[in-house]
Order: sequence, then structure tokens, then C-alpha cells
Amino acid sequence: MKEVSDLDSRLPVREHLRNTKKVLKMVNELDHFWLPFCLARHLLQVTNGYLALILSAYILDAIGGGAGYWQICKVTVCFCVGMFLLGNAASFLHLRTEARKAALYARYHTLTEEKMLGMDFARINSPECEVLKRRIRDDLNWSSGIYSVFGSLDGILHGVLNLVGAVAVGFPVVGLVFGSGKSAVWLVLVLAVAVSAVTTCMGTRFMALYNQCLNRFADTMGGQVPFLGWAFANGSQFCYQNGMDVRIYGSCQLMKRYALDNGELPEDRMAMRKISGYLGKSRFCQVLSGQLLEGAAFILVGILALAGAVTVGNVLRYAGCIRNLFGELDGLAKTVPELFLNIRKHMSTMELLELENVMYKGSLPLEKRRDGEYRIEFRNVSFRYPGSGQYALKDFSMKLRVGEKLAIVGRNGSGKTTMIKLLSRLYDPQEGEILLNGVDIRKFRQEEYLKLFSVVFQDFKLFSLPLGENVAAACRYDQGNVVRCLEDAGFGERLHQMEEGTGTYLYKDYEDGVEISGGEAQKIAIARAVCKDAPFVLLDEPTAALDPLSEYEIYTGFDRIVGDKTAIYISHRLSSCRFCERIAVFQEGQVVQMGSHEELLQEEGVYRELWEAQAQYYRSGKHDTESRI
Amino acid sequence: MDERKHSIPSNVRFWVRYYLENEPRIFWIAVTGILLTPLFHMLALYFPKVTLLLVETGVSPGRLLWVLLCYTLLYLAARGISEGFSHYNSMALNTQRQRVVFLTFLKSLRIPYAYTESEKGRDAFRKAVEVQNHGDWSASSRFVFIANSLASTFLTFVMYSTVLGSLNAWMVILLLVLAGLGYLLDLRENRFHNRLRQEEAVNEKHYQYMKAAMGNAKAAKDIRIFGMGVWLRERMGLVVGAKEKLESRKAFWVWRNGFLGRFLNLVRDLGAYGYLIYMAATGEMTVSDFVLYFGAITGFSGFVRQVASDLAALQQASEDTDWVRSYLELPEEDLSTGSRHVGELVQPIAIEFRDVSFSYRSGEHKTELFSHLNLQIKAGEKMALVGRNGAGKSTLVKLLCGFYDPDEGTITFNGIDAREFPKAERYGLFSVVFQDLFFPGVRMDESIALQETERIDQDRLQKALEQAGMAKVFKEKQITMDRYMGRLKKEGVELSGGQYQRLLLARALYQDGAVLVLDEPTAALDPIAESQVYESYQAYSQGKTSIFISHRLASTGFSDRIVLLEDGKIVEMGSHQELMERKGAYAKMFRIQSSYYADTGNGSSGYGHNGNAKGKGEA
Repeated sequence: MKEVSDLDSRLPVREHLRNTKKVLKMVNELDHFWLPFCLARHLLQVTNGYLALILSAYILDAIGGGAGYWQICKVTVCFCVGMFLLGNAASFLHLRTEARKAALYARYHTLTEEKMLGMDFARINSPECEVLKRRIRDDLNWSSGIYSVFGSLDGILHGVLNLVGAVAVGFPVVGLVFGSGKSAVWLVLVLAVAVSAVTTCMGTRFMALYNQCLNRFADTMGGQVPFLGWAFANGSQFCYQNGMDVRIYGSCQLMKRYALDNGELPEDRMAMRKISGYLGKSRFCQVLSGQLLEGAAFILVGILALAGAVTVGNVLRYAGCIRNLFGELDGLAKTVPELFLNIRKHMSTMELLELENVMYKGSLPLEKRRDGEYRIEFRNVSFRYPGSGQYALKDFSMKLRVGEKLAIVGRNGSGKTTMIKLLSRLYDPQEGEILLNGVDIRKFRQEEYLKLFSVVFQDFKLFSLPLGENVAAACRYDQGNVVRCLEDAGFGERLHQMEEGTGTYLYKDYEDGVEISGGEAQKIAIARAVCKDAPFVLLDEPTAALDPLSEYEIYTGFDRIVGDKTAIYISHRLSSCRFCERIAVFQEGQVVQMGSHEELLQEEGVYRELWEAQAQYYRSGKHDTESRI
Repeated sequence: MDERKHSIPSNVRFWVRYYLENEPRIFWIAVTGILLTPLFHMLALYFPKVTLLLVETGVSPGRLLWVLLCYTLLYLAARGISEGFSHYNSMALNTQRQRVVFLTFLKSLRIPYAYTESEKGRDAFRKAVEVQNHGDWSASSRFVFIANSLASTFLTFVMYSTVLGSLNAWMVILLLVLAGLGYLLDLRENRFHNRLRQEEAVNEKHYQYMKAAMGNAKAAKDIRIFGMGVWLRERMGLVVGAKEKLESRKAFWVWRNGFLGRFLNLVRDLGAYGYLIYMAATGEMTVSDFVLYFGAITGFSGFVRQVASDLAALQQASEDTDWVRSYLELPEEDLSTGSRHVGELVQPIAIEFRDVSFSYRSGEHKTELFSHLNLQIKAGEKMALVGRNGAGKSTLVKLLCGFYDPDEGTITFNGIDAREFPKAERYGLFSVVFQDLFFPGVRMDESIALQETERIDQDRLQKALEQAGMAKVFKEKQITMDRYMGRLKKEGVELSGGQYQRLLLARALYQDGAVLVLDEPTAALDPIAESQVYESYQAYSQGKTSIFISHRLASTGFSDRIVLLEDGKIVEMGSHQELMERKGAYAKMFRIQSSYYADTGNGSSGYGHNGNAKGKGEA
């Protein structure tokens, strides 16, 4: 796979055509009508242009030929009304295609996101995918996405139809040129074409240089130092609260250096000037090659007219046709490579869309058990995160008993969250296996298997969509059930204060919703887990952001929330373990201790160390009073 | 809205000044374009006439060739230079467009923090960035393009009028009337678009949000576990469906509105043809003039309407500019004036909140948080600030540091009103560990100390890292200070949450402020790391006044005094022992938390469960 985007290298035309076909096929799949509509619209527009040309030629000749005033007017009115009608039709089609284009654009540009929804989790965060996403970003950086393809496509459709029109309306002039026998005609023709060809080449060359330099510049922008202007301004490296750090630590100058100065290094400024120079020169050449031919068309037809070969009216008609012919040829010479380039910018997107999942999705149906008799066993499981050399879990074995409450404790990085990720099949282990009722979990149909788990991750996410939808994870939901879940999770009080109830939008990113605190968010996340009603409930540090009282509410509600389900509870606050029948102590990717709180406290080991570290502060030694409870 | 408003000429002056100061090329090239564009428009208008005239008068082919060739070259030069320059300019404009965004960002760091944080301030910032985020359609670029187009089109229009006026002055008036009608239709269309703009912006906001939500790698876990793909897709379908409906409604409306315009054009063309054919048929006009005038008549209304639509667009660009301009022109925080200097303060310093009142304002709405709050923190005292979420702990810290100004009352350092010190010095008095991790993707040392590398005392930084327990980690992982933080650059350094938290401590230590403030520094830490933080805290706060905010009441053990806040009021205050004896809110909170830890390492299990039960009973 290519590491960086490469739009400069040469590609055989066949390859370009294949790419174009691929993108157009995708576009056509998203909207069957768009391409035909476009074609019809350009056909009407081009026809109208030639009707105007024919009309003016007729009028001029008719006047010269001494036709009657009313006679001329009659024809003129017919033409004008015809063009008016065609124009209306063309305008209608044009507006329709524009409207469809907007929707098409919206659909096309969520294809990658939609793909992400179904992609293997391991792949989403893999370096491979990161590289691809980076390439997509780079490729589409200076363009307007699929619009630029549409733009080139419009140009080509119009150009080809216009060429056909020019030939159809202006073909007699060919005979005239060949039959004229005037050396001046040939001289003009050859010169014009030659100069135009040279300037077109120059223009293309400048454009290529421009693209080349721009891509290279994008790679090296900021030279050796990163340039963070956008990252700061769009919030990916900075949020407004960080303004406090900046003020307390007097970091304005530092921020300025990376947000502004590093983007304006003198060598970059010079490079940018050079690149814009290419763009300007390229445009100059374009104007030259295009408009020179227009002049040549008049000169040519003018010479023919002087020789009496062309009537005055036809001077306009033929000049117009020759101008269109040359102009469109010249235009196509630019728009076709432009289309190819624009299409090429979408190849990285296509590559992402064509990525196939490698994770085995399983085919075994999962037996729905009312009694929740699901036994889970980790057998000699080893796992490394993609791209990491270190084992997160190493030769890890553990059994989960049905209906038990298990706590997992351990230091940061001891593999607690990893175990949950493996269990919920976000990743598959590299060695060993995880068994559900004795069967490797990979063999079960993934979507059915996932129905077994409710997880509240440490870094859970809620969306700025209605509260009820967040809890139910669906557009339609059972109102009563959602309210009950929210109440169970301790969100009831706040919920009843909300005017819109479960229809209240969260945050302000989507609608002007309500802001919720970290603790409230956590409660909603817990409600979501409750609502799923899965036989396994996995809670990864669900109380980290809560104050003592809210934490207490969750603890005491824990039994009610979990009921008789199997629950795994990860927490740094060891106090939570007291709720659990068994505690597994993780260290360096293995279970080093297992037992009840009391058993573990009596053992020499990690657990006691952890417990002591926390409990000491709540005992008499550190606080002066005895905690007389 | 009104406080932001500037007139169009005023905004024109604003951008002219901006460009002349930062990139004068842009201005001069725009002026060249304004002069050259009408020239090539006129040359184009006369081209067919000149050709036909030469044919009519029957010059020699050679002469025709030379005249037209020169004419063509002149035209090419004018148009080529004008358009080439304009393309040349477009990149410079793009660079400046981005630069304005960066200036806006930097501005947000130099205005009072309270404004940046307020809803209004955040909106203003978001808008100021957003209007600059549309490529060539951004306020700064669009202004140039449109002003350029407007000026050159107006000149062209004047020239066309002169041409037509020479034929028949009445015709100019008639055409102006027709063009005026067309302009009214355009206005109507603009109004229609304006009415829809809000709806479109909402749709776009929804679209961008859903797109980001679907592609959010951080939400991928939840999306899979809860099978949210269907939900998000359905939501996205609704958004795109709404967009489609909106767009087709728009298309149909625009078409209908344009119908009258196209009809007016038909009338104009018929009239023009009728008149010109009559003139030509009666021999009052040559064929070449016929072509010239017909071209001028059909072109004329285009220019009139262009002027009109440019004016409307300029109005829009001017409104966008108002967002940018009003943000860039916000008064900056005065960091340097003050009648006293913090150097005069004897350290450790004593702090007093004297009769402090403070309300949050959002729009008209005012929520009082502190009312006549009094609090004294003795020099060198270690104070723990506890209370539920939203009790006002963070606000108290923000008032103390000077991010907020009290509505009433004063905050004093060693008895001196804090407002007497220059703001920069006041900020520097504090070492604060904030809740949000902030590590920009810059050099390691810069990212930790938040200073430019040349200004960093590396030895002192090393010492701070050692104290925070990070020097060892860096050594083990062979992380040197010239590497970069985060994933932005290849080989960038990524650390765990706990390690970042310790780096925050290192940052605070490096600053060595007289007052140490720690806001929930242990939330992401495991018990042992947490305990290490508590222990080191003792050492850090030596000889400093310090304030410690934490949900974990364990931290209060180190404090000389505990202040319990509830709804902005100090409900309890005293040493741990005193508060436990009082058996009030603090004692209850502490008991709830400690109940789980109550039994000691000797493993007397029954005791613990009792405690547990009791905790429940009391809650």
C-alpha cells in the first residue's frame, strides 16, 4: 500500500479510464438520474447556443439580401420563442441536477464514514487505516471533493456536445477552406493551431509544476517544525479551557510560534510565491491558447469573406463554429487531464471503500438462553495491539462464572481494558482462544454474539442526539423502558426536570440541547448499558468523574442495575470491589491473584499493596480521627 | 449583532488596510484587474464589428490579417494578464484567509478568559473561524473577489452605456428599466436564499455532526457494542433526505422565479431585434453596427445585474467580515499595568476573599453562585476544597487566579487587592494543575513547560520532571526533549493518561508559583500512582500556599483545613478532626467513601460489611 499520496506519477490512459469508470459507477449507484440529467441539460444548452448563431447569420444575410422587414421579423420571433422554451427546459434541468448534485455530494462524502461503521475495530485504529485516511485527507485537501469531479465532468460533456454542434453547423466552412486556395488562410490556420498548441503545452506544464510543488509543499510545510495553526483553531489540539493554561503559564509566544510564525517561514513564503507564479502563468497560457484561436477564427473567415466565399451573415456563423471547435478542443485538452487528476484524488477513497474485513465474522447462530447460562473462558490468550511490540495480555487464562460479580483491579496498563476489548470481540487474540460454553467465540455470528454484552467503557461516547435515542441506541424506542433505565442509573431526577423528557437533545453540537456534566453523562452511559439488557455487563471505571455522593449512588444501585447478570467491574477505586464476590488482580497482562476481598487481603501481593495505598488515607493514621464506622 | 456591525465602506477599508500591511501584492493585483477587465470586455464587444467592418470596406486580406492580429494580441494581453494575475492572487488570498484564522485563535488567548469561555465568546470565536473556513468563499477572500468584480463590472457597464447611448439615449433608459426588473427578481431570489440560509446552516451542521460521529474512531467501541450503526445511518439518512428536499424546493423556486427573468429577456431580444432590424433594413445602420449594438444590448443587462448581485454579495461578505473583524478588534487583556508588583509579596502569601459575590451570566440570565463569600487562606496553609460537582470549586479557583472578576468584594494577596498587580504577574503567582490535559504537539520541553525552548531552563525542567516522577519514564523510554509530543509528527511521543497527569504536575512545579492549585489531579491514576501523587504533594507544597480540589476525600488528610462548598456557600470549614466531630455533611461524605476502606489490612471481614450497611443506611 502506498504510504503517501502520489498524484504526480504518470499513469497509462487505460488506468485513468478504469479509475474514472469506478468513480462514475459509484456516483451512478448513488443517483441513477444524475448523469442522464446532466447530459440532457448540456444538450439543450448547446442547441440553444447554435440556434442563436444561426438566427443572427440569417438576419444579417436577409438584410443584405433585401428581404422584407416583416418576413425577417417573423423568422426572428419563431427563433426567439423557440430558444426561450428550450432555455426554460435547460434551466429546469440545470437546477434539478444542481439540487441532486448537492445530495449526491452529501451521500458520497459519507461513504468512508459509513464504511468505518462496519469496519473491523482492529482496523479502524490500525496504522494501515491511519495512512489511508491521511492519504484521503491529503488527496482531497486542495479540492472541493467530488464536486471537482462533477465540475470536470460538466466541462467534458458540454465540450463534446459543443464540438459535435460546431461540426454539424459549421461543416461547410471546411470545404471553403480547402477550396479557397489562399495561402493566407493556410498560414493563419497553421500558425494559430501551432501557437495554440505550444501555449497549451506550456499551460499544462505550468499546471503540472504547480500541482507537483503544491503536493511537495504540503509535505514539507513548516520545514522541520510542525505547524499547528489549524489544529489549534479547529479544536483538535486546543479547547477553550486550555486558554487557562496559556494564561497561567504565559504561553502566548509559544502558541504564536506554532500557530502563525511556523507557517510563515521565509522559505515557505518564497515557495508559496513560486507556486502561485505557476498557477498564474498557467492561466495566462490558457487564456492565450483559447482566445488566440477565437481571433484566428475571425481572421480566417474574414479573409474568406473578402474573397466572396462567405456571406456577411455566415462570417458570424462560421467564426462562431470555428471558435467553438478550437475552443472546445483546447478546453478538452485541459479538462480531460483535469478530470483524470480529480478522479485520481478519489482513488484513496475507493481504496478505503474496497477494504475487506479480515476478522472472521462467524456463522454459528447463538442459542438464546432465557436462563443466561453463558460460561466464558479465556484459555492461554495472548494479545498485542497492532503495531505494538509489547504484549497487552500474555498467556492469559480466566473463567467467568455465570451470574457472578467480578471485579478487576490492577495498575494502569495491566491489561484490564484489553481483556474487555477481547471479550467483546473488538479484537481477536493472536494466540489462545476465548470460549463461550466451550465454543470459540469467533465461530458465533458476530452481531449475535455482541448482543450478549453491555459495556460502559472508560471513554464512552454519547452523541448530541436525543437522550432517549442515546439510551436505546436507536431512532425508535420504548419510552417507558428508557425512562426506567435512566431512573435505575440515577438520572431520574434530572430527567424529570427536562421539559422535552427523553426527546431532549444532549449538548449543543447538533441541536441547541442541554449541557450535561461528566457525572450525568456517565449515568446516561450506564442507562444505555442497562437498556441493552444483555446477560453480561462490563463496566470500565464508571465512576471516575463522579463526586463521592454520586459515586455512592452508583455503588448502591449497582446490584439493582446489574441484577442477576454476570458483571465485570473495573475500577481504580478499590472500594468498588467490595461489592463483588470475586476480585481478579491483573499485572502485566496476566491474572496474578484471584479471590474475595478478604482472601486477597490476607495474601501477600499486589492487591494488598493497591488496597493499602488507598485505604490508608481513610484510616486513623493519616486522618487524625478514627473513622468510627 | 448591532455592536458588531460596520458599514461596507468601513469593511472595505478594513481589508485594504489588512492586505496593505500583510500582503500588499494582493491589493495592487486587484487594482490591476479592475482596470484591465473592462478593457478586454470592450475589446471583445468590438471584435465582430471590426471584422465585419473590414469585410464591408473590402480591405486587402493582408491588411485584414494584420489589423485583426494586432487587435487579438491586445485583447490577449489584457485578458491574459488580468486572469493570470487573479489566479496568482488566489493562492496568496488562501494563505491570508488561513492567517486570519490563526490571528483569530491567537486573539482568543489575549482577551479576557471569562469572555473566551462564555457562550457568547465561544459563539463569536466559532463564527469568526467558520466564516473564514469556506475556501475562496471565506470573508477575507470573497471580499477581494467581489470588490474586484464590482468595480470592474461597473466600469464595463459605464462603457456599454456610452456605446448604446451614442445610438439612442432612450434605449439605455429602457434597458435600465428591464435590467432593473431583472434585478428585482434577483433580489427576490436573494431574499429567498437568505430565508433558507438558516435552514441550510442547520442542515449542514447536522450533516457535519453525523459525519463526524459516524467516522469517530473514539466512538467505534460503543458503536459496535451497542450496534449503533443502524441508528446513526438512519439519522444520517434523515439529514441527507432533508437536504435533498430543501435543495429541490430551492431548485423549483429558483426556476419559477427565473421564468419571469427569462421572459423579460425574450421581450428585450424581440424588441432589440425589431428595432435593429428596422434600422438596418431601412439602411440607417450598417451590418457591422447591427452586430455591435445587438451584442451591447444583450450584454448590457448582464452587467447591470452583475453589479446588483455583487452588491448583495458584498453585503453578505461584509456581514461575514463583521464576525472576523469584531473578534480581531476585541480589546485585549491588559497584562502589564498595575501599581504593585508581586515581587513585593512575602512568600508564602496569604489569600483572602473579602465579601466576594459572583454570578454567571448567559445572555439576560444571571445565576448567582457566590454571595458575599468570605474566606481566608493563611500563608503556607494547605487547604482542601471539597464539594459535589457544581458546588463552585472550580469557579473559586478561577476567581482566585483572575480569570473571573468578582461582581462585588475583593480578593487580596497579603492584604493587597489582587487587582493592583499586573495581570501577567498575577497569573504567574499560580501553579495550577487543570483538569483538562493540554499537551500541544510541539517539542517535548515546550509542551511540558508551555514556553518556547530558548526560554526554558532545562536543569530546572529536569528537576521538575524528577519530582513529578517522570524523569525515570523518559529515561526508560529514551524520550529526549527534542522529540515532539503527540501523533502529529512522526516519531511523536504518546504517553498514558497517568503519565500525562504527572507531566501536568511537572509543569506546575516548573512554574514554581507561590500558590499551588491542584484540580482533581488523580482521577485517571491507579491507586499506587494516586498515592504517590498524594505523597509528593506534601513535598511540592512545602513553603507554598496550596489548594487541593478532589473528589477523593483521601486527599483531605494532608490538608491543614478543609472547606466544604455547597451551592457556592461554605457550609463547613475546619480540620478533618473538627469536621468529623461535627458530624455534618463532610463527615457523611467521608464516611460514605471510607466505609469501603474501613477495615484494615488485618482482614476482619465482618466489620467491613457492617460499615457498608451503615453507609447505606445513612444516605
